[in-house]
Amino acid sequence: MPKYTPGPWRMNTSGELWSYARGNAPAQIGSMSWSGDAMERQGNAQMIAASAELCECLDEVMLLVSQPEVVGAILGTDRLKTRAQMILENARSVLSEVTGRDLPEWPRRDESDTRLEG
Amino acid sequence: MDLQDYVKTVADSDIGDWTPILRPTYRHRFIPRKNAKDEVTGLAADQHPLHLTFLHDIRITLAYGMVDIANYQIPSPNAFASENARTHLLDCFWEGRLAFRETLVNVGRNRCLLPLPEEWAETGMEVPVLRYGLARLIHDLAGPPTIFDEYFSMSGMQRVNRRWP
Repeated sequence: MPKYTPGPWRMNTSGELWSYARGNAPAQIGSMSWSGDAMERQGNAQMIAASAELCECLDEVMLLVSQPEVVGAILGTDRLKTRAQMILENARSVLSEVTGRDLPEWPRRDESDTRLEG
Repeated sequence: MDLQDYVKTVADSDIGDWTPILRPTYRHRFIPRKNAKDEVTGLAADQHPLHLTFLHDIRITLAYGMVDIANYQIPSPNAFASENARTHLLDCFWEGRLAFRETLVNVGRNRCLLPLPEEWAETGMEVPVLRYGLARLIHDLAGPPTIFDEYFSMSGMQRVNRRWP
């Protein structure tokens, strides 16, 4: 995955995007020139500001739901298994696009990712 | 089998009656991709993320999920008017041919799939029983893990015994 400025990011009302990474001084990492519906700008700003954390959280959630115990529980529940496959395929596809990593389709897991082992 | 029987069979089924296939479905839609000047710059291909086969009669298949309107506006004063919504297509096939197309609306930032009403109101929107059953089935199969009936009521919809489609 390409390197990115660590989160949390926050955007102020003038469209400046700042990183408040722990251990670092706050740093402005960009500014947004808005167009489109003014009513949606606050929502758009919040989405952009949360994107780094969202990506990291999604990556962890995907790792968690790819563990054999969780896979077994989901696939063993009729109420959840189809919708879970669909939701997780969407998540995998988004995460692949953001990170540039070629992630395997759920329930297969990335064997090189050993963060939850041991 | 006429269309009424077809829709009734689908709407009355249970999630265990269907077997899913995720992409690729090889049922693509091609739409023109345009630039800011409204000039066509190419074609974008997308497809339903989910294909379903009815286990008791494999002549019946469904494909669901292709986005119809990504920025669907639910009018005020409906309870979901202030949140993002989008519509999705449900294609119903008989022996591989498209027999029926229904549109579902995804409300409350992806919290529930509901039938798309003919006209939005705050309360009292009448939804025929078969249409309710179809939307509920798809919600239970492919929607978020929430309780359909809660959102159906919250949206102001109510079931009515009326012929549909």
